[in-house]
Formats: sequence, structure tokens, C-alpha cells
Amino acid sequence: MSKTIQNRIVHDKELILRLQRGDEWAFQLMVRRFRTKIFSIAFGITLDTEESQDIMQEVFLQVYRTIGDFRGDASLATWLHRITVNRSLNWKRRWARRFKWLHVSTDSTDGLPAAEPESDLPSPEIRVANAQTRQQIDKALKMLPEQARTIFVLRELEGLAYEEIADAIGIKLGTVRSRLFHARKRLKEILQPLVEEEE
Amino acid sequence: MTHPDSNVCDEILLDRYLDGDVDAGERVQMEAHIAACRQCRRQVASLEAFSQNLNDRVQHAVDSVDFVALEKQVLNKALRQYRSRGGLSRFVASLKYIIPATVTAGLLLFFTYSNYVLKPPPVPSAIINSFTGSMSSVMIFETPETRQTILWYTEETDVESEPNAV
Repeated sequence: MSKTIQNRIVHDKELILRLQRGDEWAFQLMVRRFRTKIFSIAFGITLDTEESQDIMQEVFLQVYRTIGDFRGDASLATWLHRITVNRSLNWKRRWARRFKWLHVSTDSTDGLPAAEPESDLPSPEIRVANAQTRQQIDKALKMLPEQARTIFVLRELEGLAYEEIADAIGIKLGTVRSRLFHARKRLKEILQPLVEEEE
Repeated sequence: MTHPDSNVCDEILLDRYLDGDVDAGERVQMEAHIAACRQCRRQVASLEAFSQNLNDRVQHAVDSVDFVALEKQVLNKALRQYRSRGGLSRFVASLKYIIPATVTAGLLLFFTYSNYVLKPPPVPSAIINSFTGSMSSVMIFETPETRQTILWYTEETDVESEPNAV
């Protein structure tokens, strides 16, 4: 089965048809093709590794359940982006209601790095600096409004076109441009003190 | 959208420049402005660095995930869904046979029960068409449930003095 998956190029159209027929290998191929993208989007929105893994699984299972209803109005990728964004935002809302963003990630590398025995790792100083950079990124992203952040992540991480972002989120093209502009403007404000600090 | 004066900061054009959404002329103009404007240069640098750091941040998270194990989990869950859904659909499909069969069996049971299991109405053990001889007395009994009729009569002759019941 894996040999078939690796050696053959299957286009989305055929993949969808096979998924609708219930082909197990088609599902496996879809998971393999989109898993990193879905995880990245989910992580960009939630900033939580564990939750992003759960979201990724939920997205694939939802696709598996509802592929029969997929009419092909949008591409498979756009459909997956839409489901991922919705699930990630729902996750964020759920946690925001409960903890008002006091949630602390269980990812140990988010804080100061734990001592690790491998010698080929970067030096402790570099690891501390990397961890601080990650914290700054997380902090800045969390300060962005939810929708602006989602658009920013889709644009910066996935390089989606404005039209694709509009399809994925279900908003107008002009709104995508406007929110992206405001996201960058807000980021400039957030990053300003850091830039001055470095100088 | 191009600003005629390259010395004036144009936030919208700068945003489009960062997004790669400018034509050749706008690009040249923006690059000239950035070279001359310290503030815009700093903004571009900080946003580009942020974008790069964000990508590194996500890549770091991606690297920490065991996607092979996750793929297996997803496939197993999907397979379980398929089986449970398949089991349910098989059950639903079998209902179209089960329901008529159950109804037929029920009807058969009903008729069998009512015709054979339930006690059939009693039939007379004998039919008396006529009596001969003289009787001194006749009694007629009828049982209410089984609807059996009993005739009790006494003959006057000497030979048959025992009462007979039919």
C-alpha cells in the first residue's frame, strides 16, 4: 500500500473520488499529504502542540465522515483549511472562555529549555535565546485579534493567496486585505519596543 | 496607489510591498524609499524577521511531532468509524428482511395459537334424535364455559333403572 502511495501521483480530483468510495489508501494518502499543513495552521492559531495534534486528527476524521457531502465547489485543500480554521478557532474560544488565555502550553521547550544529554544540540545560550524568541513570537501573536491573526498565519505560513484565505474563512476579499493590513500594523506596534531594545 | 513622492512614508504601499503585491514600478519606488527612510527600513526588517521567526517557530513545533504515530492513530480511528458505520448500515439493511419475516412469523404464531393451542369449542359427544320408552324425569344441564349439554333422564322400565347421561 505505501509503495503505491509513494510512487504514484494522485491528483486531488481522483483522491476525492477514491475517498468517496471509501478507499483506505486514499485516506492515508490525504493524511500524509496534508498533515503538516493542517498541523501548522492549527499551531499558528492555537500555539499549542498537543491541541494542534488533536485538531489535526479531528480534521481528518471529519473529512472521512463527510467526504460524501463534498460537492467540489472548492478545492480539497481549501476545504481542509476551512475545517482546520473553524476547529482551531473553536478550540481557542473554548479555552478562552474557561481560562481567558491563562493556558500554559505543556511544551517544555516553550519555557527555558530542559537539559538534554545530546552533545550536538546548540549551546545553552543559543537555546535560551531561541526559547526567548519563541516566547516573543507567541506573545506578539496572542496580542493580535483572532481573525487578523488567523489571516496572518494563513498568509505568512501557508502563503495562501487572498482568494484562498477568503474562501477558507468565508469573508470577502477586501476584508482579507484590510485585516492583513491591520494585523501588520498592530505587529509593528507590538514589535517596536523590541526593535528599540535591540538598538 | 503609487505614491508620487518616494520620501513620504506610505503605509499601505509598504504593506503591499511586504506582501509581494506590487508592480515593478512600485517595487523600485519602495526600495528607494526604504533605502532612504530609517523608520520604514526598521519596520520592514522587524516584520521580515518576525515572519522568519514565526516560520522557525512552527517548524520547531512540526519537528517535535511524531507524524507517523499520528497517522496510524488517525487511520485506526477512521477504520473504527468505518466498521461501526458498516455494522450499523448492515443492521439497517438487514431490517428490510427482518421486519417482514417477523411479521410473517407473528401472523403464523397467531393463527397456530388461536387454532391449535387454544382449546377448540366442544363438540357434542352424541346427538340424540329421539327417545324410546317412557321417562319419568328429564334434566338438562349446560355448562357455561365449555357449552356442554348434559341430559339426565330416568326411564320407567325395570330393566334400565340406572340414570344415563349423554
